[in-house]
Formats: sequence, structure tokens, C-alpha cells
Amino acid sequence: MLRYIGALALVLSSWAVGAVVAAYEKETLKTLDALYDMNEYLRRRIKSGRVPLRIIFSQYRNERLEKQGFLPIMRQSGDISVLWESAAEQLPIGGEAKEACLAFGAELGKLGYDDQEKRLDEFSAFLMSEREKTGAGLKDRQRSVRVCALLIGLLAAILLI
Amino acid sequence: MNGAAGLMIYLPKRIASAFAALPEEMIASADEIRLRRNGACSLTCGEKNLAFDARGRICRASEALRATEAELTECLGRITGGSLYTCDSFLAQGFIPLGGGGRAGICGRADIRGGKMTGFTLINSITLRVHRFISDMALPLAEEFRRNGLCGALVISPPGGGKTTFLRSAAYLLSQSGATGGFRVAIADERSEIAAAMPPNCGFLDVLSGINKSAAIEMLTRTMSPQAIICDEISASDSASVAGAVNCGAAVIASAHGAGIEDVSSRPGLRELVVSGAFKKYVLLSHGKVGEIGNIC
Repeated sequence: MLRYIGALALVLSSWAVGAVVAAYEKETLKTLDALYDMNEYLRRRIKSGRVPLRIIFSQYRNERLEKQGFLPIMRQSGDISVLWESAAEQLPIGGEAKEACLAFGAELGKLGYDDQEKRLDEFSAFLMSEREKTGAGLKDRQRSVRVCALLIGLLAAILLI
Repeated sequence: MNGAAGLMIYLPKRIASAFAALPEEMIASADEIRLRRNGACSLTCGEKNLAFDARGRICRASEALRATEAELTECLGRITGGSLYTCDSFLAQGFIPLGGGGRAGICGRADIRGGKMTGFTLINSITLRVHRFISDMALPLAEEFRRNGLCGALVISPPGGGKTTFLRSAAYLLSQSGATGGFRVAIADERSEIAAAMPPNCGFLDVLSGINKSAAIEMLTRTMSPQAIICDEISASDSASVAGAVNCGAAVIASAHGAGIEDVSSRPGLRELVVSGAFKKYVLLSHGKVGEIGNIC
């Protein structure tokens, strides 16, 4: 009897793991969306009025970036690039996106206007392509992850029984 | 910002600690704090250059606290509020205005693009200059105007002699309602350092800042019909706009580097202004005693 209960638990937990991984993928996409929106806002404010970053971050609102702790960190006092580094750690992004995000933040506010404008444009273009890449086939990938996790759970359950 | 203590917020932690440990009276009398990449951190007190060590003691330059490249970058970040792109136009001229009226002079390897300097690729030195507001410093000049009427005046002293402080006081006194003022005063504040250190309750005062002095004088003359225009450190390139303002009936109160009237009037451009009578009064600030009026003639 215990063996069956254990097998059921295995199946359920693998399914849950699959669901969490699938949800993370969706969260990554939404975070890239939020970052893109924020970068567009930065671009607008810097290009139109050369507004200082502290004012921009104090005025910018985005529910997702607030909840993830990114914006509250950016509103703290201190070196903008140091704040950005710890704020970026809060985001559910990884790999190339995280590297690009950290590289962008390391120079944020430390460049003259022309260079800063160029970096903003580049980061915007990167986020756009990353968004498209992540968004393409997201549903299929989510389903695959869930099915794979469930199959692994079933296999483990069969072996247990 | 009155006193060098107000500059602490721009200093990196290690240098700020050493600076804070200096004797209070020395901090109060300092006109400048100078940070140099791998060079001595120092204070300028009047005509003295004083190096200080990590414990806040005055020492020889060879034993002084040395700023690192990272510390200069941090200092620049603090000066620009973490947004260097907001200061491009100033940086291309080698300085950045500080909040509250101070000024940071920047020196390093120039970044030249399209034949124009756009900033620096490497910072070698940063000079944080204190700006003071002494409301009655220009009182003798203001009283002179009250007795004999408003007219053009040239304030002369060597660099660091208190010319800007004097002009700030003149702008304050002349723009206030009262015995020594009540005039429409306009400031052509190219470096945003005259008006920023003034109290917010100045009277009939109009400020045009962040724009080339000559252009500012012309714009103010055309658009604000001021009775007095105040501007700092005029040179030969400003003489046409100053002459234009004088011809329109404005009294120009300006400053110039120099040891005396002869020194100033020996320079082309300024000589013509002196000869034309654009300045009826000359204020010579005392040598050795920063900001003290030596003579009005």
C-alpha cells in the first residue's frame, strides 16, 4: 500500500515540478516585457529631457518590477550601477538575457549622452529579439516540460512499484 | 553651499573620512578640495595648498592620500547624480556645476569626436570648488550706486580672489527692494554658479544659465530689459555683447582675471570696453585676502 502511495506522490510531485518550470518560462517572458517597457521609458525620458536616472526611477511604475523587487532597489540611494546589479539579481531571467542586463546596468549613467543613447537603443533591440525568441513556441515548450516531468514521474513510479 | 563641509557628499568614502578628520577651522576656510589620480589629495585655503593624509593630518605632498582611478570615477558619479549624460555640455568645457552653486573642475585625457571635445576618456583630477554666499560683500559698491546712480562696474582679481562671491552679493543687494537695491537685475550665468548659491528670496532677479555668456547677455538685453546685467569672467570674445548691452542702457557688472586696471586694459577686447567707458567703477579685490575689497575707483 505504501509503495502505491509513494508512487502517486512521485507522479504528483514531478507534475508540480513541471508546472513550476513552465510557469517560470512564462514569468521570464513577462519580465522581459516589463524590462522592455522600462527601457523604452528610460529612452524617452533621457532623449526628451536628459532627465537624471534617480528622478526617472522614482517616477516609473511597473507592477511586475515592483513585486520582483527591482524598482524598490533602484529607488535606493547609492551608485546606480551597483543598485542595478543587485536589482537584476531579483529578476527571473538567466543566461544571455541576464548577462546583457548586467552589462547594460554596469554602464548606465556612466556614459555621455551619445554613448548612453546608443546603449539604450542596443538594449532595447536586444530585449525585443529576446522577447520574440522566448515567446515563440512558449505554449508548446510549456506543454513539453509538463509532459516530460509527468513521464519522468510515471517512470519513477513504475520502477518503484 | 557655504563651506567645504558641503562638498563631503561628493567624496568617495575613504577620502571623505580623511577630509572629515581635518581640523574644523581648516575645513571652514577651505576654498577647494582637489583629488588627483595617483596624486596628492589637497585643500586650497586662500593661497595655500595643503596636502592631507588618510588620518586627516596636513602632510607633505609625497605622503598625502592618493585617489585611485575608481575613486575619481565614483566622485564623478556622485557629482553627476549617477547620470553623466545630463552634464555633457558642461563636461565638454571641463567643469560640472554642483548642486547649491559649487563647481567641479575636471581634468584628464580629452575625448575628441568630430574635432570637438565631448568629455574625457580618463579622469586625472577633480577640483571641487566651494561657493560662498556673503550677502553684504558688495555693500560698498551698492552704496556707491545709491549715491551716484547705477553704472557699469568691473571686478578685478587674480583667480580665486572672490570675484564670483562678490558678483553674487552684488546681484543679491541690487535686486532686493530697499536702500541699496530695487533694480531689475539679470544674471548671465554660463556655468550656473552665480545664482545657484543665492537664497531663494531674491527680489527683481532674472537668471539665464547654462548658455554661452555672450549669447546670454544678448538674449537678456533683448528679452528682459534689465537695468543691470551681471556676468562672470568676461573675455575679449564677450566684448561685443557687453558693448551692445551698454548701448541699450544696461549697466554691466562683470568680473575679469587680472592684477589691476592696467593689466585688464592691456588685453585686446577688454581694452576697448575700458576705453569706451562701459565700466565707470572698478573693484579691485585684495591680494592675499580672498574676497576682501581692496579698492573701488
